[in-house]
Amino acid sequence: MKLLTSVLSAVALFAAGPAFAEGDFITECDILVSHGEDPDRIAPGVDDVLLFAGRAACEDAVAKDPDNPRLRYQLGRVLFYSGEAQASLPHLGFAAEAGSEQAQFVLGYITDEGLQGIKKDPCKVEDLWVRSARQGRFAARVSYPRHVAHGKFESCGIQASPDEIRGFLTAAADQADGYYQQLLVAEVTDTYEASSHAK
Amino acid sequence: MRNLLVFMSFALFVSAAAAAPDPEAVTECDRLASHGSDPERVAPGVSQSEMRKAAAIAACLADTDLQPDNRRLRYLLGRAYFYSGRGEDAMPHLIFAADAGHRQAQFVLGYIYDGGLQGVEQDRCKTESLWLRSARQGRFAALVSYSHHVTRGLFDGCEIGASADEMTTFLETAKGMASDYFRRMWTADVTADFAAYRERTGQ
Repeated sequence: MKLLTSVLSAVALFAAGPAFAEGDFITECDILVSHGEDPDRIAPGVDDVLLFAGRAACEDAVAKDPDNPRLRYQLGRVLFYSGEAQASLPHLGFAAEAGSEQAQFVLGYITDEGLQGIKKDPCKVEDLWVRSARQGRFAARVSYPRHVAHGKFESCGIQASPDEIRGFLTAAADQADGYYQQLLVAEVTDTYEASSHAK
Repeated sequence: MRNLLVFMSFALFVSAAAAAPDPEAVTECDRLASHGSDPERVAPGVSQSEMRKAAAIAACLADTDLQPDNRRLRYLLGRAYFYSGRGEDAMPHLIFAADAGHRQAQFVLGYIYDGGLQGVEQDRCKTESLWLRSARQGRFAALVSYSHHVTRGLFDGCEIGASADEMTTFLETAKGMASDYFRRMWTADVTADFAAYRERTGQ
């Protein structure tokens, strides 16, 4: 029995990949609601989230493990997709504060766009995206310099120096996956270098 | 005797028609080499990293032997060759498909000429012509890339086939097609650059 447990643990460890933390395990919430670009995910990404089943699974998972940022992000994700932005915000906020780069980017995005009636707040976006970019999220590494170049963070303290922003873009160029992302990084780099912040 | 000849001719005609492959039928080449963004594809897309290149080349050679005028299959054979680093083998098939009106081949061939990839001589005027045809057929990448290159002066020295109004329409069409966050951002940025270019050049 002990041998079987050891084998199962080893299989779980190797099958899980680098995002797996000790004591962590794949829940129904992970299977139904993981985001394909979330570096913390431990199950394959899901594009078409089953809202009812996903919500039930994530509410159950969060009830059992309320301090897990990955599960809190996923509950926030399924609630937001269900049109329940106000209910999703505490979960996205918790995950972002706990260091989920995916939650930081997504919460910044919906705050930037003012989606589902959420109040626009450029300085909150600046803070979320700079943290996400520093952790390596491609979308933040492109979106942050783009907003700086377009003057969208002008009323905020811009936390990243020009050198750090160039570093985001250089790293993003290496991360770019495919034609569109490559061109986008090139476009944003040109726009940033032409902006007053870069000079 | 005459009736027999008529019957035999008819039978030959029917069997020949039955043997002709259906150009829309899914072949092994389609299964192994289709591109996810090709509007003419008849099978799920296979990414460059996922493609089993040797098997795809073999399947596409066999299928294009049977259907040498099928522009979709010729493009796929060109794609499999190109991903295998065999640009020289790829070019005749990509050129055939592009000339036959395949918008994905037109875009890809223009992209190869744009970058001078795999030893192909860089020729941005060929890119201009290919991307214009592709954009006029509604290929998203060409709709945006064409205006991008005009704005950046990368088609300077070439005859620009599209008017400024047509390019604006290209970008409006692309905006409606942009299917994800990154494509929307890219389209928005190129559109803003193009509007500034129009103002700067008085077009």
